[in-house]
Amino acid sequence: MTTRNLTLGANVRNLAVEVAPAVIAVARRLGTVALYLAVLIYLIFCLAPLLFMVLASLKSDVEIFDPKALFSFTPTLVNYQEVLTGSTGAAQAAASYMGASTGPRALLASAVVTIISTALAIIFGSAAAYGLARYPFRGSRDLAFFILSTRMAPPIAFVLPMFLVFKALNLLDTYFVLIIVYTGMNMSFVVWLLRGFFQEIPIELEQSALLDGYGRLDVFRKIALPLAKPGIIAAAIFSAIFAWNEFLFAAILTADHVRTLPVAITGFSTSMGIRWGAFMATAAVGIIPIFILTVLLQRHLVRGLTFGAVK
Amino acid sequence: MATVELRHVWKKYGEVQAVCDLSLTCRDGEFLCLLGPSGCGKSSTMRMVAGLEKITSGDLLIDARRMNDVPARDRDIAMVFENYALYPHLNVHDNIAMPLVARRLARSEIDRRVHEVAEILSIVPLLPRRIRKLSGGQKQRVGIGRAIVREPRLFIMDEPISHLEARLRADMRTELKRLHRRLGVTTLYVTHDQLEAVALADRIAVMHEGKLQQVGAAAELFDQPANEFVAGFIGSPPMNMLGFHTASLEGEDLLLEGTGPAVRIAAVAARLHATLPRGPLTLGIRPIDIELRPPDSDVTILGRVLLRERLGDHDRFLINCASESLVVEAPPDGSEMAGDAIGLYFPPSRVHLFEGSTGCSLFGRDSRTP
Repeated sequence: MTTRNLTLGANVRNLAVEVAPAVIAVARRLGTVALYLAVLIYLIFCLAPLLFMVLASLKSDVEIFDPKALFSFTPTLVNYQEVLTGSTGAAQAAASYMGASTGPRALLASAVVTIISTALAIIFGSAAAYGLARYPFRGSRDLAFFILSTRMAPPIAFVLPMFLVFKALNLLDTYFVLIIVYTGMNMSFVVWLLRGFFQEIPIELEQSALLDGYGRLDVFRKIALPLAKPGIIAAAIFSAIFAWNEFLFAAILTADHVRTLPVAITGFSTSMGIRWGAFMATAAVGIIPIFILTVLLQRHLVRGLTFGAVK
Repeated sequence: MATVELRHVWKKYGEVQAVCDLSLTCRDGEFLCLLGPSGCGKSSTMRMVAGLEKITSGDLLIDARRMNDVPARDRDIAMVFENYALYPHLNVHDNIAMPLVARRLARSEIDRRVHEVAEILSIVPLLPRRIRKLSGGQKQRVGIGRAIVREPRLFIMDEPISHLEARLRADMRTELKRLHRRLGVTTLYVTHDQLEAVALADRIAVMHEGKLQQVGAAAELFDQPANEFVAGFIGSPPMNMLGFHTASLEGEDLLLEGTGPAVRIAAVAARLHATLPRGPLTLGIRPIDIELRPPDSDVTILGRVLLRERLGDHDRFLINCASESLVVEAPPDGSEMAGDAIGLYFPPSRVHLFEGSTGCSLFGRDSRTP
């Protein structure tokens, strides 16, 4: 009885061994197909609005709401012309209602605020991160946590106090106010990302440079910064995206004098209706700089975000 | 070139004492090895000399000048690290050039000296390569190149070749020795590998638990270990140690008694440099020094062969004597097999005697004189 059971067991096992690879291969292929399908659906979900935006920006205001003209229409650059040159062309009446041309000035304002605030966040953030990573002092961990905690409350909670403070300082509606706010808000992210990078650099590299005759500042500049480059690039891209897209603070703290792109877009939502064509064209133009930046630095970005996760 | 002197140096990390009251002098042009098991304080000592760690108390003198508060960059010391510590974002040439760039030398002068060093280390073809593309041995050559290019007055090498594979390690050992001959720069070398220390060093400083145990040439440490730790640490296979409860002198003979059979060592009284202590003692003898004899001849102790390993030019025996196991290395000509009774003879000039409580040697030099 026992012997029979044993042989039966062995047969079943042999069968399993023969069947298993084929089943596993099929299952694996099905899994791959399902995965790609899921990715495809997600991509459509993400990119369809973008496509719709670009298409709409190339249509006249009438065609935008014509379902038959979703893909078949006569492309026009009139919206872009209005946004980029400020010449109002066909939409003269509506545009004059909005006051001065918004496009070029908004682009310039966004660029100034984004570039300066990102540069400042990286300069001060990397120095702070290096200090926290390399010179532990009493309370340095608490300080690091405090820096992180500045991002914990919802930004809208800060808007009113900030408005009052900057009003008292007579800084409302200046480049300076947005630069300082964005620098501050990006700081916590930059410090935490770069602190991890600096900690991952073997201390011997820096000690070796010290013995080679370099001072502390040289070690930071010539060893630590180049080695943390992927992190710095990742931090810079995220800071720039934040500053470029930020709406809430820009809407509250600035008005006519400094008007960034996200705020300018809302200008097309007028009391006479929403001007979708110009709206979409401005949005499309607004995406381009960040799009180019991300594509160019993508390689570093991936390395920057996965750094430390693998090791 | 430089003389390095440590005077009563202590290093404490909070409550932990990494280095205790270390006094040690490294002579001008000397190759001094700091040898000890991991955690013995040897690396802390090096790092204090290099200026990477603060000295808790005591003085560090280089060329008779107190260096405790001189920053690392001004000490004119080059260091070779265990993990190479090469700059991964620079190529080989620029790595070696780094110390010269720091000194703001002219571009042509830098190139000339980098090439000179690359030739000494035969790594000229590697100069344009990225660090990532190098093998371990090549990396360490670059590390050494970066150290020698600036012609410092002192080299510090912290386990520079312990990450390399065995064959390469032997080659690099020879190369380091050759380099030292050629350059003549004072070198402090940290290692846990006694083979490296013996092969390279003019003198070896053995450390254990933060304390200096003994300083001397390899032969001196081998023949006259100052204490039980040094005796057990230097030499492979390690020295055999036999514990006894009491010792007494009978004329010139030493009589040792313990739980097992008594042992008599003839005519060694003259080697004693102190009176025999009352407490327990340890008798030490190296595997190579024991003579195997027929059991019925003049022997020190009787035993039984447990194991015989044939190693080619010699055989290694594991022999059971009373409750202890002894290792003996003997020429491969005897006929003793496992299970055979055998006699062991300890030549009186080759035995070591240690005080049980302190571990200090009762023969030869006192461990406390450096």
